[in-house]
Amino acid sequence: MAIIWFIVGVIGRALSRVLADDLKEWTPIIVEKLIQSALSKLPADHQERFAEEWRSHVKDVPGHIAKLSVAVGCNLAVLKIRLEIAYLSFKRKLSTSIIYISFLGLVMALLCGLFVGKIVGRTSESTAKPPAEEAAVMVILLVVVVAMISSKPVKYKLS
Amino acid sequence: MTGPTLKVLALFLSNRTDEIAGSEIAKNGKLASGTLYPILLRLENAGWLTSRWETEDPRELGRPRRRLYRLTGEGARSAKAAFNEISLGTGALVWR
Repeated sequence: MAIIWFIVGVIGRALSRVLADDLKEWTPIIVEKLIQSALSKLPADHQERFAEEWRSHVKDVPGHIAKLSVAVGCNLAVLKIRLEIAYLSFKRKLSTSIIYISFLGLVMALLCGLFVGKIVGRTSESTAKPPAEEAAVMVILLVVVVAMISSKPVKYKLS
Repeated sequence: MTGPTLKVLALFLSNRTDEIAGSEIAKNGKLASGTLYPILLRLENAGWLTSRWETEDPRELGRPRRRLYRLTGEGARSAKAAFNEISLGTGALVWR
């Protein structure tokens, strides 16, 4: 029985050494593949930055297992980074849409104001011209104020 | 605000004038890269951090350039406020 355990021990030791050597040889390749895989999932405008940053991080870390762990972590980071980028992009689009809609509303209100002003001006006496103009100006001013308030850029906040 | 984010901010507050690389933050804050980089990006997007590439030539260094992060004035104020807010509830350390 002792002889069997001895043989198993010797084989196990030899195998672990071979595996350790293999791991050393393969680590740079595996790490690079993992980083490339993580980068491929990022938007193009973020790839260059993180490529250099993550590769320098891997270089800074001592030990093969730690390097692998950093590279695996980069793949996990990508999921959160993509969410972050999507959230920011949505906020920017929302902000831009509000500005466009407000501008459109402003133009519409301007036209409505002028139209209302013209009708009131036409139905009133010639002396009633100022109230018609005032009505139009008031409507325009009101819409400008509403547009300015609603188109205020959305600031990114940490919660 | 999450625990890892507070850890990152605490590191920056203790090294107010220093620029810190991601690998250093990970090492000192004991944070995994999967947690750290989304936090750094988030803080940068919020204007709490700024970052730049180190100026040395990567060929001379023999490795890719590090990205160096620094806490902004707004970031420092907001981070201190966040820590103070937490301390009101827990009685923990207050940053001044």
